[in-house]
Amino acid sequence: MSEESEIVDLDQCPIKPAIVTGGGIAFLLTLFPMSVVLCCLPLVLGGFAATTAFIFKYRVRLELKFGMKVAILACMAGFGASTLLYDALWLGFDYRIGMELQIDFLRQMQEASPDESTREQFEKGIEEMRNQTFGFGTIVSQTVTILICSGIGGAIGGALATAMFKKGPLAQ
Amino acid sequence: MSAADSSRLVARFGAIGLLILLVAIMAAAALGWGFLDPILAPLCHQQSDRCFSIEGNAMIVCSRCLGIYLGLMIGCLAHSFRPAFIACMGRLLVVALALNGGDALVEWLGVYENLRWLRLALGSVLGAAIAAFVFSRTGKSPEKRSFRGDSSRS
Repeated sequence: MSEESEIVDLDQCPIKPAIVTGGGIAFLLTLFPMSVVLCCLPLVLGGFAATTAFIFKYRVRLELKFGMKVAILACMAGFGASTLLYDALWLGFDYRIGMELQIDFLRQMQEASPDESTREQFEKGIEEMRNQTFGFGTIVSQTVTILICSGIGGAIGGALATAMFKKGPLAQ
Repeated sequence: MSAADSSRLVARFGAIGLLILLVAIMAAAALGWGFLDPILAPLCHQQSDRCFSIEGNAMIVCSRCLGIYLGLMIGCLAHSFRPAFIACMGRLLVVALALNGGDALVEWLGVYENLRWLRLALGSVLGAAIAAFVFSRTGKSPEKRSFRGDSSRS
């Protein structure tokens, strides 16, 4: 009978190495100041890397929900770590990673925009960014952001990796 | 639970989650809920001239991202009610990616400017192609694939 009839026990396959791999990529890409221009790609790539690392390490084929779960957990770990580092520098040294770069970028977009109301919205956004203070609201907002964005980006990346790579028997 | 049932369950939850997300995006614009802006900021550039607007308020995601979420939702709904397995979905996904990349390149070259409806349409095609690719490759139970291969050799 072919190896497709074998079932590999997932309890024998720790997910920590995959989370470290994918989380590391998500951490680096989300820390990069201008990653916002890449839209959801940083988290999709982090999730894709995590699930791919798991599949290649244990030479298995995964169910869709497990592949997505590994990816989402990796994205949460990486994005959470980069947010923690950002907040630590903000609180400790009043330094916000990439803020000046982002403001310069927004100014360029503002100058290039032909629409007056869009330019005003850019100005409003820049002012809000400069005047933002760290508080309980910031923590809540960042936590919700990490959960939702990791869920979306990780799910897409993990699903794609699960569908693309099938290296052996099914792991359940 | 078989791989096929697992895949349909993911499709159902995916469709519900994406529907909630799309309703939240539209409600935020219609009701002027600014507190939702930073939540999706890591996933989208949120440039207001590239977003659709409701009641004069720009949506919190651009037209392409809105299209991707819409296409994903349609793909999830289709698979949860009527699974279909398309053999060449990998190539169709590459075509959808190329169309979106090509649109971004052509706009950057200045051939046309800011066609939101085109970006919405291309984003929807990409989202649906991603869903169709994933469910085509994961929605079949392995027993069915082995059975087909064995019968063709006998």
